[in-house]
Amino acid sequence: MNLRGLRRYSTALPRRPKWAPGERCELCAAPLDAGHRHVVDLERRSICCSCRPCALLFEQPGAGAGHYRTVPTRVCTVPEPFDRQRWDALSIPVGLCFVFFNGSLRRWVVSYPSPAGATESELPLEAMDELVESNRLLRAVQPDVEALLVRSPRGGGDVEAMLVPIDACYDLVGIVRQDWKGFDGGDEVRAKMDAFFAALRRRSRPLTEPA
Amino acid sequence: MNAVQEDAFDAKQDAARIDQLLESLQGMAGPSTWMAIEELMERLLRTYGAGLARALAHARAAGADGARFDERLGEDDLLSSLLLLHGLHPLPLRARVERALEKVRPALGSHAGDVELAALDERGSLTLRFLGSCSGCPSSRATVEHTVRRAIEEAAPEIATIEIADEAKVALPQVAR
Repeated sequence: MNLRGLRRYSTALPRRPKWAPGERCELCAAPLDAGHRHVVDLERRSICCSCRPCALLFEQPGAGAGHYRTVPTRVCTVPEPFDRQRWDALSIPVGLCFVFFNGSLRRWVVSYPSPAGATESELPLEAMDELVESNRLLRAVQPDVEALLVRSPRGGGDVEAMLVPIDACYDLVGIVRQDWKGFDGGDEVRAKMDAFFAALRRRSRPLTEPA
Repeated sequence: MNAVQEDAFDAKQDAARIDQLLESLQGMAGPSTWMAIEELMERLLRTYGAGLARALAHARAAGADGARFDERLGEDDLLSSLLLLHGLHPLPLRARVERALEKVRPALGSHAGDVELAALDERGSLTLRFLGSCSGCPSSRATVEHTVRRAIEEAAPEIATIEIADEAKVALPQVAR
């Protein structure tokens, strides 16, 4: 008797090559390049690796009946300084976080990269409304696919804020999770984070109002 | 055969139907559904494989006569296929290959004289050598190869490659044609 068809599912037998995450488009299974795009699955609230054609398909809001939404590529900054007072009113306990609008909850959510992954919490409605009111970048953030990345140096100083694609935030979460050492993260993770921010800064353009 | 093997269902028919269903599902399902099906299959198989391994361990711990037990497992067609699938077969790889060749020899009939194991390494590369009268005749050679490959595949699915050594220069003179 020959159980040939089941063989590929047995972990005990030598594996036939199967693709690892990031090697194939999760929508159509086409092979992916190194710098592939991402599509947010709004129903399952997850990010899928995507080939160019699939990414183009879901670029328009409402495409795919609102199930999928392509993560944009823009990185934007504004010249005016970040409103530190209103930011502090949110009492966010860490120096590095990203804020995005969760379209299913219809609320602003803050997420902190940590050695254990990303931790999310909802932001107080009123204080957040005030901040959004005063901040052009936050007003421009597209729900679910973009975020405001905020880095406030310990012990005061200028807060750096950039409008970034949401997948960039998860890249950052990956860096923190992988390279965090000891109590404060260590020099290696700091150097990597500096390089990451420098690369974003180089990509950034001044915000032009319509998204 | 013994009473244990009298099953109500036809295992071979089920195995064929499983192959058929998986093949058609792969064509019908979109990539994400297919990935979910594959994960489901892997997890199901792993669960049953782990159970099978435990059942064997319990039988041995409870004092099943080792050699006799292994012999019975090897003789049971369904169980042997399942044990192979889960990498639990009591017979070592080489012995299974030898047995498969032994079993296939009579079926080679008039086509070929004989086939023997030339080499087998730990990465699952097997080399076979054909000996005998028809080793130079391409059409009969294809039939023989096919029969042998199928037998090996069934008895030793972990074999990755089967090569046929092309040194059929044997003592037998080619007079049979």
